[in-house]
Amino acid sequence: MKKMRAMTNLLGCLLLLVVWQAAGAELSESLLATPLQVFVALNDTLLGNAFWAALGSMLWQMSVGYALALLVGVPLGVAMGRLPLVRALVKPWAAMFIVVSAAALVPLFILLLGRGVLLCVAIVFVATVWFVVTTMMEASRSVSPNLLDVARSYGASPLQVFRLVLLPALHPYVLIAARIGLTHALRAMVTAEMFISTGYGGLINDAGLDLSTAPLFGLIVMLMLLSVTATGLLRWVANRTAPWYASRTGDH
Amino acid sequence: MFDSIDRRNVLRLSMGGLGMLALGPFLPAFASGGRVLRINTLAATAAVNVPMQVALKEGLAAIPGFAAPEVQPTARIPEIAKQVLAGQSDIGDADIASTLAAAEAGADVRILGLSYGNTSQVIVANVDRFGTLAELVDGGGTIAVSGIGDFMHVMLLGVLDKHGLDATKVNFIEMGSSGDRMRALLAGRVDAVPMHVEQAEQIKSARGRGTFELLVKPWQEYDHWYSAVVMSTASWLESDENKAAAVGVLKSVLTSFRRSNDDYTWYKSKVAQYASSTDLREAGDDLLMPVWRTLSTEINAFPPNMAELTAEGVAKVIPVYQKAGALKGTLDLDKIIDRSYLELALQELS
Amino acid sequence: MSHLIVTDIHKSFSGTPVLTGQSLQVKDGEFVALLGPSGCGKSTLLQIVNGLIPADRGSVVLNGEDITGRTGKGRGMVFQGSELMPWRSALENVAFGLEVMGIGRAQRTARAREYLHLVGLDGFEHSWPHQLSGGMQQRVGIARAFCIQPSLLLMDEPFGALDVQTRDTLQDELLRIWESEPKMVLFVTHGIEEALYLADRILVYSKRPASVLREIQVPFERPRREDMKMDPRFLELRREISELLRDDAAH
Repeated sequence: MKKMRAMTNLLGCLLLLVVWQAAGAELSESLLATPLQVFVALNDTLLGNAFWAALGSMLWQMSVGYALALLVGVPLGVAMGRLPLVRALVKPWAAMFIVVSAAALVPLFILLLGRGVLLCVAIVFVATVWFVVTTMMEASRSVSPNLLDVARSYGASPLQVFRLVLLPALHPYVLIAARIGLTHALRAMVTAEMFISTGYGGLINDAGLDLSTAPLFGLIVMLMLLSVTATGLLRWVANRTAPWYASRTGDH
Repeated sequence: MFDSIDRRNVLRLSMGGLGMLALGPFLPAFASGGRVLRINTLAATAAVNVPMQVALKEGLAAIPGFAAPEVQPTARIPEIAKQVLAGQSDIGDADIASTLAAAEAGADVRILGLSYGNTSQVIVANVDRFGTLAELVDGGGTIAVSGIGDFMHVMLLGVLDKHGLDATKVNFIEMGSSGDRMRALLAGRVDAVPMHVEQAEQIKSARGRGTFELLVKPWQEYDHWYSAVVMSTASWLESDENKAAAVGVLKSVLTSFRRSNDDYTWYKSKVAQYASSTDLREAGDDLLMPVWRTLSTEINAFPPNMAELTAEGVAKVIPVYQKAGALKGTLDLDKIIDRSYLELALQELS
Repeated sequence: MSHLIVTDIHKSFSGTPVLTGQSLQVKDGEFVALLGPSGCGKSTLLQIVNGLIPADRGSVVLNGEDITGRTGKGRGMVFQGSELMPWRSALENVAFGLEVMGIGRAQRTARAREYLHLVGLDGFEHSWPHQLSGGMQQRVGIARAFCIQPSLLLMDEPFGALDVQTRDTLQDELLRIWESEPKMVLFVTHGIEEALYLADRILVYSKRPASVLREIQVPFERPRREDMKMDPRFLELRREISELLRDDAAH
């Protein structure tokens, strides 16, 4: 079953590559580089120092903002789910900020925060935290009241209810929030970097000026690989540590 | 005199260049014993921008009292002037349109010098669709510009007006980077786009959907078209320290301009170092030599004394902006364009 | 000697009275069934006894201690849908009550293993709830309640969601376990046959607001076996109760 799915996935990827190759060959390199051209360009990119330096600086700055977003967003979301007062206070802000794209915030944030590490961290944080908050809010509202009753009927104190029911019930959702947050964090980080043309975003800007699209697609492919790998890792952790949830969603 | 500066610069520049290569963006942290200016500049470095980049990244630190500045690349042109006005940057390498618009809105901007002279952007069209500018206008063609109301868009409107063509028939659309515009043209999505001269050279070798030819050379249409300027604010320029800094920056830019005009080999090495696109960095003489010649001679993109920057000169293009609706035309150009720092820089260089 | 005294319980939900002055008593080792139509308020009464729902008035006294409005304290609850914690193995679910009470891991695991054995789930210690059938899940639920060795067992239509065969089997299982560890039981059901088969005494409730229509002392000896369901007295009682409820519903 699992093997079967992996095979279909692989087949899908291959098919996509074939279509891409054909379309690229038809259109020319300056419009749509073929996978082979991208592969060659990517090889050059990966051999250069600039790529790894940019990737490194992007990842660590993003990680700081992302970690902060989880650190703040998970408890805040849970509090919003469980406490009507907190929900009433914070929800309007969440609803407002979640629709604002990082691209719209970057110019403002540059004026407020300059363009150092703080900018990228803040942008990633703001672009990520509300997705974490809303995911966790919905998750903690959906925790079965019956299970809370079970714990209380066995005499659990509020702290025990939190530790023995709420936390484990929310665990798979924390990983989902982390997964959703990660894609937003990555996107926001690249957006911010493209604005101030540093790091990975700067590489993308520069590659966009080349006549050939191969280097640009190479960078984008790497970004996609990064995102897919990281979310895959989080999914794997979720499946390993929360098999009950995986069985419910058919991920197992 | 020029000689001695050159020798000294060569030594310092090469050492600085080596240092830059090794340390890259960390350099400001290592710089010691000099003023570190925050200079906001366009992120994408085309052939025409290279001398300015050299002036910022190498030249300034070679002047006693200055360390390498904190260069703040910005991808969206209009943001540059905004960040200078907000105090995030000391000096901006900004486009003249947004700078003048800010002045008209009440900001105390000062234009101190040119980031390059004229413009290196030409209008390239798919001549399979429209053979001439007049045909393109009458046929309701689509032209992609980087921003509605920016210097390039206004320049085009001026050209159309000059030739008695109705600009309202043209469908102008915004498209961020010159790379995107170039590809949109290749893909047949738009009929004409402004692009840098080197891109116009490159596109000849690209396989696209059509035949691409130069339709408009702005330098043949205007005495001098203003594009990017060195700007700051009057309040920043109040202190003597900052006045000296402005002179320092202009000295560095002028030095870089002069060298670019005089020394192709040097220019080529700097393009290889600072140009944003790999195509341009790795360009051979067959591409770069004609580009350099166009820039240094035909366009006068690196004016050795920035003599073109005068209130009278800018006043000549203001009506074009007015007609385009980009400016009201209520500007006191004599106040905004402040050549005093430039004069000091020229004095110190001679 | 344990005993439960529930006195004069009143409860309304947003102005609608559900319970008005309900009292009941359970003697040591007595199995009492609360029988009534769905939604009559018998489950509410059970949850008030359990402490999950606060009563508007009245008291719950267990073994001489007033426990009105408090949970825990020697009561084990079996829920309708078993309500196992999906992130706990069968064994950990059974040990849940003991963990809440602060009993050490080794001790609670040993005791949970014992009760899992008692409900016939040897070998399923480390299974996740989602890997167990509905019947098996409710066995774990019963083991969880027995594991804290409560003096009072509260069961809220525990077999209501199961198919008939599984329900019959589990009724027998429950009787077997209870007979080996007799304790007071309050068993909420709307199944007449189930109440007759399991209970010593049946309180038949009216529709809402619930009041006791009749109290029936079930005359059958223990241990009870399946064939008693064919006994004429059993059938007669079943018919009587059925008519009683039908009359009440018609008014």
